[in-house]
Amino acid sequence: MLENLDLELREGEILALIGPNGSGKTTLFRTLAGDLAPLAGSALLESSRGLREAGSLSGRERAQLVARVLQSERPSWAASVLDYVEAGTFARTGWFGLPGPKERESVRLALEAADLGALATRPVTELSGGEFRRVLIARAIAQEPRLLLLDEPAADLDLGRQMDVLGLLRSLAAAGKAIALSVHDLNLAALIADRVALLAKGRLAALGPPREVITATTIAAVYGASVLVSDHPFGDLPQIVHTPPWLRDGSTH
Amino acid sequence: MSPVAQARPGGALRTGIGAGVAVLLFVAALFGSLCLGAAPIAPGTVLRALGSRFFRGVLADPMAVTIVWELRLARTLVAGVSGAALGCAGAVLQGLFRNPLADPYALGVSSGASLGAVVALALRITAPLVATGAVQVSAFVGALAAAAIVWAVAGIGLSRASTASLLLAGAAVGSFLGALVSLVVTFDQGDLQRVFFWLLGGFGGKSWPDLVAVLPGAAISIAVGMALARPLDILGAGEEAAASLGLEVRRTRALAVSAAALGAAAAVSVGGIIGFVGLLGPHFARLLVGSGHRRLIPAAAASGAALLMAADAAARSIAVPLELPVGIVTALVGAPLFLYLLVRRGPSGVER
Repeated sequence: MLENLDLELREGEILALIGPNGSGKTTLFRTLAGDLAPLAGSALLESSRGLREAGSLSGRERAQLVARVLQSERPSWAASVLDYVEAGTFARTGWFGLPGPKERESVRLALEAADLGALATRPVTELSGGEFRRVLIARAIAQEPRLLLLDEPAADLDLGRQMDVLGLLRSLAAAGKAIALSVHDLNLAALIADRVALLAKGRLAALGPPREVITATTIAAVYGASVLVSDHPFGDLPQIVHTPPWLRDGSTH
Repeated sequence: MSPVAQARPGGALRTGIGAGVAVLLFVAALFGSLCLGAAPIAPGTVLRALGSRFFRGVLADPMAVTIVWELRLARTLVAGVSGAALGCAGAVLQGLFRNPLADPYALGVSSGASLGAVVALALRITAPLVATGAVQVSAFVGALAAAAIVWAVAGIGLSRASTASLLLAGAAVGSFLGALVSLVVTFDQGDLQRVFFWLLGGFGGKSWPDLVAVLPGAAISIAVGMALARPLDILGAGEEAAASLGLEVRRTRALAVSAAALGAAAAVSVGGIIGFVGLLGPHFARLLVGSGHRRLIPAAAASGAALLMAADAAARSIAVPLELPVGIVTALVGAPLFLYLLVRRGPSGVER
């Protein structure tokens, strides 16, 4: 359940959704994507025909505005990377339409943006976790949406692959996409986001630049965890350091 | 050349060869089925017998003409069309359920058809043509009714019919109807022989009217299955991801289930319960043309047809003068073949 949530996302902006498990991050994504209808209030998307209720659009209309990257997606058959990314054009071509020159070009650009050109013919079932995540992002790019919603895009990836994915998201935002991502790792949230929305029990507990939202006080209040917040050496960004009881008490080590 | 531009030709060549093999197998099974039987006929004689109806100049053995045209051709085509419907239905359901173990009977279609058939047999209609027709119609109605019950139960039990709930409801409804079949047979043992043959499946004595009976349902089912190719590809990403790509998942599911139920019902009502064709056809097709549904669905139909025509030819040639129920042949050959594919390719159906 989400309550009293007032959020607006602009083009070129990256918003990180943070909050404990069950705080409503996924529910918010589903509502924005039109999968769930809000019980009260509205989730509005700006389409070529003005502001529209997410749930009032057809599946294909919505998919032309909003793309999602799910954390749980696994391929069920050995499609090539190219075919998998091409599925992003479905919203434009429909049931019987074959991708035309325009769609093929957007697939090519998406593969290029995600640095997948060399993997185009590989079966998706043979990719590493980081490669497959980039395939999903490339498919979302090929959808040519205005808004990208990503569930934990950096989870289960090693440090290097995490930075690849975050860098890719940064360049998409620079190209004018609005991006919202859920993320558990608060340091990653601080690194990538222009604004951070902290959800707690379905409510918006804090919203603003990382510096203002990620503070020792809010973390202690919302997560019940004790941390120190310091500065990132390269910028005005908060970086958290865990200070769990067993270190504070000096009882071990 | 960029890698993207190169991506197609290699794969296209392979799938092109695979499609060619599928067509060859289909033609070979069709022709082989015309040659084989209680009285084998030489291929040349079969060709002349076939040609004699089209070209006045072709001279053929009148006996061969009668056997080929009046007996074997119709029967072979009934088996082929039924196999195509089962293969296509299997491919559609495997795509929908994202599960290579799904088969056309997963929706309770076979138990529904069995119940329809045994009830019709228990009524003991004696007029020859009406009797066959009644069993077929009753089986067809039973099959579709079972699928409709499965759909309704899955839809009511959960807020929206999910794919997993469909499979579970299919298993439960199938068992229940299977018990009813046993119950009917227990109380009415008069026609056990016919019940037995119906339940094991077979094309003995099938002729042109049976082809007319099976063709419309099979054709509609295959046509809808082919139209579902791209949606099924999209669905391969999972239901939530497919919805985010713009696919109307519920509409796709309703169409896929209807098409598969119709095709399986048409096949089962004419040929009885024939196992493994709907499971094996799509797996075979996947080996030939890969997993993309645009090629997989027609290839699964062709493979299913070839498998069932070959199985029927074997059923009437192995134990002459006895004719084996074709369901025994498909299970005896199909089960080990399926296990082999399983071991080779892994349970996910994804090539290792």
